[in-house]
Amino acid sequence: MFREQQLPLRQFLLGLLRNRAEADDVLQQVFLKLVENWPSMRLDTAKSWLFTVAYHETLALRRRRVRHDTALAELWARPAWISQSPPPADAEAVRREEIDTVRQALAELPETQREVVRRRVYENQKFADIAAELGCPLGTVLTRMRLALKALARALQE
Amino acid sequence: MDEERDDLDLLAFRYVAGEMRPEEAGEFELRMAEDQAARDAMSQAVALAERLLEARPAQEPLVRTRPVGPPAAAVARRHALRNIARPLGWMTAGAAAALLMVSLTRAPDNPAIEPRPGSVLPEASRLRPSADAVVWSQLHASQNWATADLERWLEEPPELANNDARDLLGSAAVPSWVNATSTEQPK
Repeated sequence: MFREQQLPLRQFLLGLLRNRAEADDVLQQVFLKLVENWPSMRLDTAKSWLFTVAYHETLALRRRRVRHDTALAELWARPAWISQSPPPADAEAVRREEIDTVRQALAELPETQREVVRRRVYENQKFADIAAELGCPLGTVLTRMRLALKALARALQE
Repeated sequence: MDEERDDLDLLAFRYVAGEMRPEEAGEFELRMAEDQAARDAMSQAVALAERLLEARPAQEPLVRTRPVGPPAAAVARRHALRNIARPLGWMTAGAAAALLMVSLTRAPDNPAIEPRPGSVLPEASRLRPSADAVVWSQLHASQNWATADLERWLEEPPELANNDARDLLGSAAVPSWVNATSTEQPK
């Protein structure tokens, strides 16, 4: 369960929190709750349970952050030796493989789609600005992005 | 069905990229309270953004459209907090070390820990680390799960600055089982 779900959960938390240290902190809490609840856990609902707990822990953290954001900032700080720990060797190999896969899939995208991805991700342009610069409707830019995301995600899953 | 999934993927990417109006972002967050497909789409959007950033061609420097560093006031506040937190951290570490020393030196005298003559303790319970310890060590072993580039690329969630959306978030009641102990059954 831990091996299968830790990465998707981390990504989910990072998307919600935009902060690695906070996401990691919530992730630890979630898995500790999983350990506490393991004897009564139903395997078929465990994934959903994990994400639901993560979601609510995140909301709780945000509420605390709104009230005490400055004080919390220091609490989440991690000792340097933790953040410098190297990732497991196999995870690093998988990561490199995925980077190559995405690079290849990006190169194979139609030029119009690749251009939208390039501008949005590497140049950090807003979709509306991309549409304005390319002289096409916003809907067209979003459709190109949607198709590009689909192709890239498919490449990653394969 | 595929179309729906594609729309969800784009929605998640727009959320991750900070390209949603606050109310739209709030709605998407509410959806993630129960919709596993939306949660999966979010995980995938973050994973994809991370890989895309890492796959950035050498000639594509990451252009920033917003300030990278925190505002000066935040930095000053953080320094002030650090001055308070550092002694507290050392005190906590000292207390933990003392506790460890006490438990190590007292363990052999503790009848609850020391096996009685004739009794057999299962090897696994003596040698295997607790589940908590395993979780912690595995988490710590893979800390570099997200690149700094990704963290910088992600913008602050837009809805946080918006009171309406914060109210929306507040309306997502926390089920009691989220804080459950081992005696409670997850629903």
